[in-house]
Amino acid sequence: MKNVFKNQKVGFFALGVLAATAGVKFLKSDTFHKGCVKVVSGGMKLRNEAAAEVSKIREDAQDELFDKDADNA
Amino acid sequence: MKFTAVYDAHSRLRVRCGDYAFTKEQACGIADMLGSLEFVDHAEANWRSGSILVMYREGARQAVIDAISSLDRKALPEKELPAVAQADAKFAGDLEKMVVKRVLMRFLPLPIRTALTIWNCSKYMIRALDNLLQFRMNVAVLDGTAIGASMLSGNMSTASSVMFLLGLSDLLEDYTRQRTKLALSEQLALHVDNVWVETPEGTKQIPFNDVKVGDKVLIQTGNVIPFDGTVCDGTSMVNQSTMTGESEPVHKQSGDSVFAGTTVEEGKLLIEVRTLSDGSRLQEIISLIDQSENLKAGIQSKAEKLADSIVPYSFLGFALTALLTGNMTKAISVLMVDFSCAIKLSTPISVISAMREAAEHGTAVKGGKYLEAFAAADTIVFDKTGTLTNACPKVTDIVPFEGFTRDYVLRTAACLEEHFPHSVAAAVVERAREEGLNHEEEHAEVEYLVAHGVATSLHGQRAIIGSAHFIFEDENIPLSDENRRIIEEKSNCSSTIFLAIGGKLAGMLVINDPVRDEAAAVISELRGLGITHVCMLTGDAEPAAKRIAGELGIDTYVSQVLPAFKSEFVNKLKDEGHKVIMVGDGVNDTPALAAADVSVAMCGGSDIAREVADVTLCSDSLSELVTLRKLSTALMERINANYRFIVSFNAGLIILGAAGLIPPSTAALLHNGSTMIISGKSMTKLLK
Repeated sequence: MKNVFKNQKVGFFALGVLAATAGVKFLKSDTFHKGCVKVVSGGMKLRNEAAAEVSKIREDAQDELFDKDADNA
Repeated sequence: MKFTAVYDAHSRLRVRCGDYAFTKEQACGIADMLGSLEFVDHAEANWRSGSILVMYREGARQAVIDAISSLDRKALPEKELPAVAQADAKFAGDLEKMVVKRVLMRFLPLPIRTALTIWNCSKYMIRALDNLLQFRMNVAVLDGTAIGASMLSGNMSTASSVMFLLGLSDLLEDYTRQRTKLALSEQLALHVDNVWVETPEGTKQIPFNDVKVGDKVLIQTGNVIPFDGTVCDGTSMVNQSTMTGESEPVHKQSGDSVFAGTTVEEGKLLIEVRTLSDGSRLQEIISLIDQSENLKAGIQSKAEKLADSIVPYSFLGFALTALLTGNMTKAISVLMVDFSCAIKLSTPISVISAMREAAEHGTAVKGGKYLEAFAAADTIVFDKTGTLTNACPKVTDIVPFEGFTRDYVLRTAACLEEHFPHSVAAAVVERAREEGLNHEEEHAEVEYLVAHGVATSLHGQRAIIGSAHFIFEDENIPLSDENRRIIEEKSNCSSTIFLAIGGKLAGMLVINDPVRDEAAAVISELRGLGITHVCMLTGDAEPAAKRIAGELGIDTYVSQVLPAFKSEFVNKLKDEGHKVIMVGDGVNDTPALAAADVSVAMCGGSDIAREVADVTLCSDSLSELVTLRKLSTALMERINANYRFIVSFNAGLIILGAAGLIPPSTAALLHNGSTMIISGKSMTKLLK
């Protein structure tokens, strides 16, 4: 019988399985979850801020245009 | 609520309460609340920037500030977003999602991007296969092949940009369709202001909005039933064509169900309200307009058929290029470009946008087909009363004949006429009311002879009221030479109705219906827009008809017509090869409206005329006819111009692609880009 543990390929395979298990564990971990939530919520906040800013820019532009028209009239 | 002012001048105030200080619904509620204040001209609120804009009457600045300050942050008014705003928001959201997705894709590693592209393209492949298996060679197959071929030749970015542009076009089409439907439903919404409700204290008129489930409402001849309900008293013939499509009216009696949007053609009903209309049925009618093949403009159906019929030629071009050049890239370029998708997309968008634009002008058009017919028409027929005139006739003279007094004639005429919803009848009743002539109901059940008049029995004698034709010819009431002279002298080119009691002429009522101020201008403008033949039909006597025809510049007029003749007249014009627009408003115009190529009803007219007509003018002004003519002509021009552009531009692309001067990805981008631009342009307003 061959010593399976001496076979390099089997060794790599085992390492791979270990790494994958650890990877899935990490994906399921609280730290990762919290990290993702932070990133996504940060993205959402940024998006909302950007949307509000765009609204404000548009409003101010409208106001300025109105002002010009009213002064000319 | 605390706020800072960011603009404060020229009766305009904009304040900000902080980003996201209120929700979308609250923004809507705030705008609504402020807008309803009497010193406020216009108010809007933006939930993102938390800003409130108010345009106010001069000198009301402090009042506006007080109103905003008094808003309680914990109890802000809320209101459901209007459907149009919801559609806009959804479109903006979907568009943003698509663009963001596309941008994010660029940051993904290549293998994941490829996997996503394959996943996205599977949708198109499945659709193409599905059509192929049903032996259909259509645009879906072409799209699938184009995307599949570029994937197979390893051109991922071309495939994904083609899919992106196709998705964008779909989104744009859906949005236009949605907006048009909403605009239409607002226009077609049942315009019912007041209804008669039976209460323990007697019959009472109340605003329609106050009607509750379980109320008993009285609906008379010619009126639309504005809710679903059960008949509890009365019998009548009800026209259910809006519901079932059958044109014959249905007999309804106690215990039967009636539906919102149907019309009482004859008789009156007391109906117990079961469900109040929530507009859902209206929505159904509108989708019918949208989808029904026979309401589609001919040019639209033609475009859709043409689009699919070109597909095999695109494949032929692909195969030929591949064979002749032996170059797959060049061949795919040909496949990337097709005429059909641009034509198929831009034509319906043009049509529905035009319908929406018409709706914005206060004109409800019930199908693209009618815009096409309106543009093609060369003849217009007006039914005089209510269209060329204000339908607000006045009794200008009352002539009694021997044996009868003036007051008796007016009182009796009013007594008979008050039962019918007709403008002349209303004029008689109004005059009697003005003169304080009240009457008791002394007659038996009245009989309404369409367009002839009214007959009943009064103290055992036959009493009839109606046109000269009805009284002297149909009913053979004798007319002495002396009376004939009086009639000619007193009527003086105006229309007249006659009252006869017990076989004897009792009196004559002279009625004047002033012509609408805009009528002459509208007719001359219509002539300038290619309408060569203007006709008028009227129940008036010859002299009155001749005078009005002369004043308005009308080519052909027919006086003293009967309703049956109206449709006969329209049919005769059609037989002569004319395309006919019929404008009418009364119950008696309906056969003629149905006979015409395209029919127009005035808003102030009877409900049933509005039901039958293809177009309703809600603004109650004839000048909308001119607008509609301009709009429909501009629509046909736009469709044809689009068509010419699409064919020449895409033919150019195919030649360039086959010659190998542009790569498939550029061909796809230019083709889809131009399709988008054409579609986007087709959504813009036709009239300045």
